Amino acid sequence: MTYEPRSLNHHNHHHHHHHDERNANDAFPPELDALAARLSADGAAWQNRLPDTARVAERIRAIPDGAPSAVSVDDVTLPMGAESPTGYGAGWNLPRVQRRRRVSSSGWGRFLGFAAAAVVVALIATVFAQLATRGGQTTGPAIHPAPTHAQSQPTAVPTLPATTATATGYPVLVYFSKNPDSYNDPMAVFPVHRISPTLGVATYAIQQLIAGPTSSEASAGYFTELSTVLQRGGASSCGGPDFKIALNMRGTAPETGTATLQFCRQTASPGIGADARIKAEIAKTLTQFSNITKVVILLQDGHCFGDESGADVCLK
Amino acid sequence: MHATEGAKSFAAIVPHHASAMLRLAAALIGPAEAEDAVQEASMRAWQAWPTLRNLDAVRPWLLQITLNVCRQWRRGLKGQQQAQMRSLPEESDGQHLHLLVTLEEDPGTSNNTGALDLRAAINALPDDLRAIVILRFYAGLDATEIGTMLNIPSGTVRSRLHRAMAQMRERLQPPDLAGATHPEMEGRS
Repeated sequence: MTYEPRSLNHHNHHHHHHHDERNANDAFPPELDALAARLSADGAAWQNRLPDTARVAERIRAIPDGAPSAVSVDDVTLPMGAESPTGYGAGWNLPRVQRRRRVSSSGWGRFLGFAAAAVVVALIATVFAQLATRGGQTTGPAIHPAPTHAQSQPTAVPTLPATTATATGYPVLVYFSKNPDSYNDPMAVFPVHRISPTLGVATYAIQQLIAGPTSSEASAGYFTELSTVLQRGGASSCGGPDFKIALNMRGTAPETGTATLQFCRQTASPGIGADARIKAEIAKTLTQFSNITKVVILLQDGHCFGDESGADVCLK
Repeated sequence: MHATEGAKSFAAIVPHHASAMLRLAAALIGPAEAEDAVQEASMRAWQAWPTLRNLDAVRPWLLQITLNVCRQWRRGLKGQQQAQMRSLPEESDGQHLHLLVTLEEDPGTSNNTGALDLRAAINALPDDLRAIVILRFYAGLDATEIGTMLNIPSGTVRSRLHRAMAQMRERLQPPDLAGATHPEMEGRS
């Protein structure tokens, strides 16, 4: 690893080199200096109108959290016959190494490709079988063993709604609140499209909910209070992720069709309305998957999210 | 690269290039869609991350992915706005990049006629020169990176940049000054 962490708006050593080179070779004739200065100033003004870089960087940083790896399966599976997203690179100018791999798809290369695909399918099938017999639990990039009390869970693994993989991944919906509708009705949520790069679609969808709407979506009124409610600066009780999802579980009790999302960080709710909107966003986002019919949301300490009664009604 | 290590290196490295990716995307498809395009490009980069052998090349690699995402983005738009757009090439060779680049005329500042004139002068340039000016001063790329995008040597980028700026200077100067500095006018009484 040759890269060193650096601040967002600073270039790395490699790019410093580029800038040095550019500065040396892009010296303009004196009569063009004034115009170059004007262009630089206007370019800077134009850049100031672009979406917030810090937010974009945060969204990028969240991608591996929402996508544990390029081949693993976590909490939600695709229906039989769904295609894998192997065509993600179609039409790209890929790095040379990868281009070479793509063109060697005949003879032994093709045979080995089929063999590798068969092995992957077999491995995935094994994972599915294990999940189906004990219930699955996921916390984003970390893989946790299923709880022992769930071993007698003879439940199906949640599936995506009828969908096919796109060239880049698996389409999912993320449900946000929207101004003004959701202020009048906290249960009113509205979907936006995302493409999950892996089969970990439920985790990815919630991760995207936490990341918030894009600037264009935000300008259209979409919002969530989840990103502010979740104290992301605090420690994660799950070893890093913001939340974990247990399938076919109501809290610690097995229950077919119920998914339990538990936050791994402390939360600070601004009020009942925000709690209701967040619950609606999470519930609608997770119940898009056909085998999830109910959603339980727990705080880091295991109590029900947004339960003003303190009676943990959601667990009963 | 181990998966966990890959996730760590991705999260540590790629966000630092968000600004460059964002600027490029905004120059190619406009600021409104730029964030979504960068998100898409980043997801593709994450999927292809294990194939990246040379981390020193990560910036041009990310910019290339961003460029390709923007091309596909525009192809998608093409279907919806066919009447408003020129045809795009099927193959993504850099020579046609200029077809994608158009700078918004509105500089975003009030009463700034100078900026308006500047944008108008840029958009009046021939396509190949306009692309270089926008990528250089607005997307913030250097000559080497622009050359990679356009499939031309960096020296050609620089010469075209100078030519573009000379044309802009002509256009931006008041008529009397432009005439006074025009080579053909020199020496005339």
